[in-house]
Amino acid sequence: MSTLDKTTAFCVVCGTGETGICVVEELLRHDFRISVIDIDPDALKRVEDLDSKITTVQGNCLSDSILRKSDLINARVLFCVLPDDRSNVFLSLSAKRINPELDIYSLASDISAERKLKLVGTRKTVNQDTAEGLRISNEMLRPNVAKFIDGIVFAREKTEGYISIEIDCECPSIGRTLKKLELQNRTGVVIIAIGKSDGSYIYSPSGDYRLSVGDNLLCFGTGDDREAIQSLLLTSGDKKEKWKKLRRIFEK
Amino acid sequence: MQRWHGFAYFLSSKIAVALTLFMIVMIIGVSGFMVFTTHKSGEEKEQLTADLQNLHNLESPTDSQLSEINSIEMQLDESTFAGEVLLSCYMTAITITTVGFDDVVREYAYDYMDEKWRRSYNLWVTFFVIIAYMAILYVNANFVAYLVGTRLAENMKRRVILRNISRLSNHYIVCGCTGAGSFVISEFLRTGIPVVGIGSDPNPPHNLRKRNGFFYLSRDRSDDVLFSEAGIMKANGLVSVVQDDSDNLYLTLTAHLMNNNLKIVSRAAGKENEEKLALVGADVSFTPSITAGKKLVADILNRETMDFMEKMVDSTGHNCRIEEYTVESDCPAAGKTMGKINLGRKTGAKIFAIMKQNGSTIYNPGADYVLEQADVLLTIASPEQLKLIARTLQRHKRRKTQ
Repeated sequence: MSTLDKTTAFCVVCGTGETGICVVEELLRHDFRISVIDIDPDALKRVEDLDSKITTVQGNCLSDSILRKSDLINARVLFCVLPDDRSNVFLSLSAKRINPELDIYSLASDISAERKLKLVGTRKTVNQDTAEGLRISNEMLRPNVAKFIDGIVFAREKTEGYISIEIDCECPSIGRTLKKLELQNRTGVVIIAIGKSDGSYIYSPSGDYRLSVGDNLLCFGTGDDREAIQSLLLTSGDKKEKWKKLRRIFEK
Repeated sequence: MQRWHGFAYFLSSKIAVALTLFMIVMIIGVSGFMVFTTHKSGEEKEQLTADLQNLHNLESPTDSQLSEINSIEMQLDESTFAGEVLLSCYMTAITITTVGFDDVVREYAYDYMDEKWRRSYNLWVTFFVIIAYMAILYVNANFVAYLVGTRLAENMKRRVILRNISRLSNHYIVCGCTGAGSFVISEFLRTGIPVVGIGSDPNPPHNLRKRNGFFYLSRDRSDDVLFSEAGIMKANGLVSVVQDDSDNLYLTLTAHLMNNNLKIVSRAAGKENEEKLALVGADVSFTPSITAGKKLVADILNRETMDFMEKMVDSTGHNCRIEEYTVESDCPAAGKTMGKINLGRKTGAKIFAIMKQNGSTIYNPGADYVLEQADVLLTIASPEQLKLIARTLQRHKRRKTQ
């Protein structure tokens, strides 16, 4: 679920405003298969000029027949970038009925619209004002953080950057504190947060935090770092037993 | 200058006319009543003083005699010039304000008058009351109009705000306080940075009204004046997110001309306008629809990361965020190893990456990493911890020199 297979993932974009074009461009850069629906043939021509692989459907995307025509049944993702909230909500609802497994991403203009879209089954909503405001404040207060995150999110290869390691039930390190694990000393990796199994995060966990099943260790680093952490997590339990053995020997 | 401007405005207004009218009415009234009230001649006064002497000489005055003493003293007091003026002022005032007339007048003037005097007196009073009534109407109307027209209370409020703004430095100015603007402002305020908001609405936006460190100026004068009022010379940056694109351009240009060092972020309606804004002096210009589009796509590209990042950067519930600290060129900590500086233990903040000047990123810098100038430390920290980091890095120098 977490990663989409790009060759088979099929995206439908409804609406070719400025945001829609931007979405299409970004998807093209990552080699997704795209289908675009819009009522305006001129706008569709502009989209076709971007890349010949894009299939376009001309018509009102609020009607089910047009949605079916665009092969929405086989699509994985739908982008609702119509100019007004009402159409976006309507489109989300009708698309969800055609294809219940669809991931819908939608534009929303305010909080109440976002709530309605969530209710209709949209996976994620983006508020233009919020996105813009966040961008500005990041640009002003922490320009490099914004660059850093953009770099990671829009990176084409995922060899380095964000690492997330899940602790499964067989991991021997369960129940130990971070201090005992000595992650930072041994691998040099800083754990910036721990994702709990219920979806919440603990930021900048202290040394007293005890690992439990289903936790996600989040950090930044290269592929080597990932392996280092994983091996440490797996061996740490052995080490404890080794110590016990040693102690037993010592006592004898 | 501005105070005199206000005074000149006051003089030219109708309220000045109203005030003179009021003065004229008062003069007419006072002089009229001075003429018509009964004057006591010198003999009468002497008589009264003599009576008073006699009454005072009595050894055991009865109650009626005591009240007589009182009334004579009062009459004597009123018969002096000042007493007469005061009395006529009082008469004028109660006449103009329609508080009372007949009873008082009868007691003091009317009953003692000649037949001839009474006629002219009646004529004068009729004339005077009508004039006075109209004058008072005029004065009242203009006074209210003055209060409403010059928005006296608002001007006072503005003056207080301006005084507060003049104390600020390193603050940010945000033009356009609705939508994205209000989001930016609350974001700044959360980090503890004072903001001057400029908007077209005469009242500050509702959600920001009582926030600490937020000052609102409405856009009712020219941009240059407004910017200098907002303390642009001492400001750190300016955000221009007004609805109209040409307006944004103009604001950006004005701000850039007034303060060259200002960091300006400006909104553009399309890609082609971004370049224009950059030409005019905006450090960063962007198109909101493209930002939103990118954000939509980012989620399917890297879902897990995005989810975390979003919470990390956007969410309002917690205090820790991904923050940055740039090592300045004169920072004493430059050239030292991370192990020696030991930020983690001193501040509690964790540094997970360093961005070098050449664009490369070093993840999880070890203890032997040598800090250089213009390195950007990426850390997960609360605003207080960020301040602590800055202090720790600066402190290194002092210890060294000691």
